[in-house]
Amino acid sequence: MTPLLPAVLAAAGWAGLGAYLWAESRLHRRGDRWPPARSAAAVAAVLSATAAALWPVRAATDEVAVHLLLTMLAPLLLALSAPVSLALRTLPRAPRRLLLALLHSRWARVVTWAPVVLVLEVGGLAVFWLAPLPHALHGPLMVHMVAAGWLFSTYLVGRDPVPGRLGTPGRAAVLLVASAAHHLVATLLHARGGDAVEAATAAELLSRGGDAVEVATAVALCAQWYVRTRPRPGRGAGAQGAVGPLRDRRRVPAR
Amino acid sequence: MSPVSPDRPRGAGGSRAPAGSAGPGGPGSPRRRSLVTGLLVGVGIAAFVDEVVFHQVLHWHHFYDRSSTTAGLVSDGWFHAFGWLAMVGGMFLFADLQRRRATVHPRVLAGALVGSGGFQVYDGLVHHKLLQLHQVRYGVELLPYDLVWNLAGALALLAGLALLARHRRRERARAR
Repeated sequence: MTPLLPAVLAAAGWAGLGAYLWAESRLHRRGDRWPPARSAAAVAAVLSATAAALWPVRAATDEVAVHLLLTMLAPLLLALSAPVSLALRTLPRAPRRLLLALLHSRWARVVTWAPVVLVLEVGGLAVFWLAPLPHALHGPLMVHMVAAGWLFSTYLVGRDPVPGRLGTPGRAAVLLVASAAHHLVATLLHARGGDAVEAATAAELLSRGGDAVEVATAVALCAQWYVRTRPRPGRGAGAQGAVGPLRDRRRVPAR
Repeated sequence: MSPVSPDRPRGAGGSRAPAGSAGPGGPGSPRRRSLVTGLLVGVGIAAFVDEVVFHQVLHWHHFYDRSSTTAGLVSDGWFHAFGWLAMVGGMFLFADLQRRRATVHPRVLAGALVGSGGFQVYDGLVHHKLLQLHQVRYGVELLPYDLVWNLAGALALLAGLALLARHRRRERARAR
């Protein structure tokens, strides 16, 4: 693994965080509100990436730790910080229009389709850990994994709007497929590591660490459903004695 | 989807769910939801006990042993992932039932017994025996371990089914 790459990504993260906090202060100055939890998520995302950059990579377990922090935890926190929404609310007219055009492009439609989101996320993971990859490709692949992780987390629990996103049960199914694939990759990594204790420890860390991030994602997904479907007294019949709807697909108009 | 007009009552919780899903037997009914919640919580508990007690505390189970087939690893991946998600989803569904005072407790309990027992028996028969994924314990005579493992699961499964049948009988008697 290139030790330089996480450092470059973390530096980009700090620059992004500066822009994020500046945009937030602009919102506040004009009297708009921005949930502090989102800013906290942005800070935590950059801290996670920084921890990955500073992590001393000596053994396979260290590579796994960097992978978990940089390509799983940081993208999840980034998705929860809703950077695209913040950009849309604070960018000047011309770049804002450019961003909107990008978000509404055919390309954006394709990469936010659930099967594509899954293939990008799981494919990167499987190739990174299981394919005999030339050293030069490790860096680009890691960038891909950070981007795919952000897309994946945004699709599942992101505060940014994703047109045509599945409802809560559909997203839970997407998370299930990705989690199963993650565990499978970890066991296959163990299987090909032979009897080396080092490989076994790394594979187990990959599996358990992946579990932790996936459980956090599931909690975020369910908590959003729980808040969204809260019973409101006086709003129609059936608030008591009925249950919250599972298919609470939040429609986001395409345009 | 069109905005809800003020004269049309919204569904449960002001949702945009299709009308009729909250009927007495529909997927959104408290009876059905209580059972599903119990099943998920049961699977989640069984998976959690398996992970924490047998993998981490006792170190009886191995994360991977040489004998595993690819089919076994795939099945393990699915079950591993499903266990964790079932746990989280089940708890939130239970919290939803509770805040709406809609919990049908016997059905939650029955579902939890069926879910945990079913998970245990599947793990014990399909994973341990059929796919040879890993064993209950290594370096010991396996038969008593396998018997206790699977009988405990089967017992929970049967108790859950019996509880479900009994609750259904009582509901019918009350309706008459």
